[in-house]
Amino acid sequence: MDWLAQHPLLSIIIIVSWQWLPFATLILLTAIQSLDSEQMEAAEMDGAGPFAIFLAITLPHLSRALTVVVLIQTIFLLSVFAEILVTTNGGPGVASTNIAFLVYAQALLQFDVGTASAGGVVAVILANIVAIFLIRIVGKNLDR
Amino acid sequence: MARATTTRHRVVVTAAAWTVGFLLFFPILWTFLTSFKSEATAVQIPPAFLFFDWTWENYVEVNVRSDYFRFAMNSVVIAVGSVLLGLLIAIPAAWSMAFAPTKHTKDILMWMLSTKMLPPVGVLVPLYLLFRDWGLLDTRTGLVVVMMLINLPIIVWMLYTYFKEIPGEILEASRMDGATLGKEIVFVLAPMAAPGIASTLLLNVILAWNEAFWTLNLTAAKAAPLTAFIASYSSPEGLFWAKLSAASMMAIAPILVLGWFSQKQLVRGLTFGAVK
Amino acid sequence: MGSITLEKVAKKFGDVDVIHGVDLEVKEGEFVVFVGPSGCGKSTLLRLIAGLEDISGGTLRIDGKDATGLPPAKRGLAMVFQSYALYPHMSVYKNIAFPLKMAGMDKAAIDAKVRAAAKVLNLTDYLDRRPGQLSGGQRQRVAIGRAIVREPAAFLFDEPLSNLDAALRVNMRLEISELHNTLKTTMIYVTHDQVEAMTMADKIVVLSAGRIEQVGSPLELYNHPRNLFVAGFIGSPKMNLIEGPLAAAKDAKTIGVRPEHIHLSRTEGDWTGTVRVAEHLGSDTFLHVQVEGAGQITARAPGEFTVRHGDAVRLTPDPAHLYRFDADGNAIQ
Repeated sequence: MDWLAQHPLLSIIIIVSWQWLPFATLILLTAIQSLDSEQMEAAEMDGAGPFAIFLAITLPHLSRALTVVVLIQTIFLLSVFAEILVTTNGGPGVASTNIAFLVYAQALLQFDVGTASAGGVVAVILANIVAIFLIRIVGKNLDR
Repeated sequence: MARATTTRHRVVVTAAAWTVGFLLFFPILWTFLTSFKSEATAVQIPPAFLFFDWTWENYVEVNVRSDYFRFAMNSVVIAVGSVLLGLLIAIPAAWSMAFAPTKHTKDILMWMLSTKMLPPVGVLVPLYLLFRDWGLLDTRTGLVVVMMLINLPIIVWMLYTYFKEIPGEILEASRMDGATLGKEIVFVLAPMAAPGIASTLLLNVILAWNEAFWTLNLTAAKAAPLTAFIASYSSPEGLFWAKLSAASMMAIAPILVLGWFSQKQLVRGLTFGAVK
Repeated sequence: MGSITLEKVAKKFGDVDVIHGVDLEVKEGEFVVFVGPSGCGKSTLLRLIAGLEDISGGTLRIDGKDATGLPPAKRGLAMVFQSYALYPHMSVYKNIAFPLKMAGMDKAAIDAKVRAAAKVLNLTDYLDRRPGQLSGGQRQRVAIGRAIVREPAAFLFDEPLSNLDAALRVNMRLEISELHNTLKTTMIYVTHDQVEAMTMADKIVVLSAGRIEQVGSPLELYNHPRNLFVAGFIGSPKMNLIEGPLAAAKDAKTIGVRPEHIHLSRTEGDWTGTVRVAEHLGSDTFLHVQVEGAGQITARAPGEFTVRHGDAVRLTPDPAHLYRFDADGNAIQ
């Protein structure tokens, strides 16, 4: 059962998810630590069970941190490259090629600078869209 | 916010945490174990866990086949060199942002951060062409410059947060005492911010060491660091797992050790100063 | 050595005028106190003189020479900060030696000067300690020591006693005054506490909203305040300022009389009032009296004057110490 050949994209996804798990954990950990325990105790007194508390109190409090994690990871995961190069080489065929790998393949393997540059621009635009939202949120953080 | 009130609750939560930790660490553990197997044992199904014939042959062969030392030296020079260069530029920059801020300072910081969000692939082509024309391809100098530029935003950001914790009045006192700007930074600021500067150095050496995009694309034989070393052992046929594991272990060993000792700084740097 | 002149000195932060064209002369050897409420610009003015902020307009002269553009290191002044600003990673010895090291003095000369300063300030036993291991008063002295060794043209103090507890504050006040008597160097001292100002100064500069309200010796300001602000600021408890019919009767918009210049009697006097609060300190009695047509008046009686809440009492202001102010708030001579 050769994962890399039979499920190339899934393999990359698993690898990269594993790699970024600690980052997400750290950010969410701080967010959870800042949750006021008194709020949870009040909810308990009001008769809420553990699931209800999670849905009504914990999750909304985490929404900001979750958004930050999603945005940051989206930006950096758009440029996943080394993992693809070392495991599947974009293949089989182009099954696990993303923009980053495509640009690399066009520029350095096929010497098609024009297409590669176009690909680069597309990648930048995509990342910028996500980045605009992220910057606004992190910028608000700086004001504190 | 620990709500583990009963012992039973605490035991369950701790066990769960250790399990998750073990699962996360598992790939590295597996690599470590595989590096000591023969190639045949490595591809065995069902996979052997602890009880097999441990052998050093993979490490020996990796060393014979390629010059680990050269790759390692490149990694060291590039990682440490780029960070030291970065510190040289970042210390004055962070000084001015922390102690002489203007209304644009926040914008500049955000802009610096945003450059890190650029997918490197966007500038691969232009940078590659420039490096080729300037003769910087496959040189340590070229990579040092690129690594420095990549990590500069994080270095400035971290130094900025550390500098902000230093009371400005002490620097003013040194100015009253006759210190020029250079002396103020060397005799007063740097000693007081020493732990912060050390943390920044550590984190960025680790980041530069692990950087795979530029080190793989801008080097060939002469300036290739350990990232290329590992990449050279990968092959889609999947016949060399044991050697690949050995090569990987040799490549990540220094950084594992460094990372273990600088955990706190890593956390602080990776979360942009949010977690202290 | 040590004369400082400000000619139309102004300071803007962005678009906001924080100091409006200030003229001031500090003579050699004077102990000048900048006093005023929070935000009046006294610390800013001090920092302008020190060189820690740039002057937006006007000229600053030190000993006759134009110092407006000089960096702090070149002005020959020494500053003691409110938080002492000691170097935490250096010993007391190194802290005091630092300015001399910056000036390039050789080790032997530095050693002599540091030990001399330590002796004057009783710090000889603490030379090897770090600031973190010292008490508030000791840190204060190290900060002063660091300033003394430079043998500056003038000392600048920025609210140095604010971080000390009351008892220590009184002691340090005396020590600083004695230091001035010994060294005879010009000292410019910023505080919001008018008691410190009155007891320590040769000359007081009262500031409000970036402008100088009045400059004079403590007694001059006490006896001849130029306007309502100075009258109400100097003196504790505050001067009573009364508008309305009682003021009109004296041909003024506002009249002022200090609590200590009001004569109290149960039986006879110009004004009638009811005691709201009586404070018995043993040495004095302070009465807060509701007076018809004047509002709440504070009056001081020497010794013990036994009255209670609700009692009727009569007050007579001393005509020799009654101040009149016009509609602009300026004193009428």
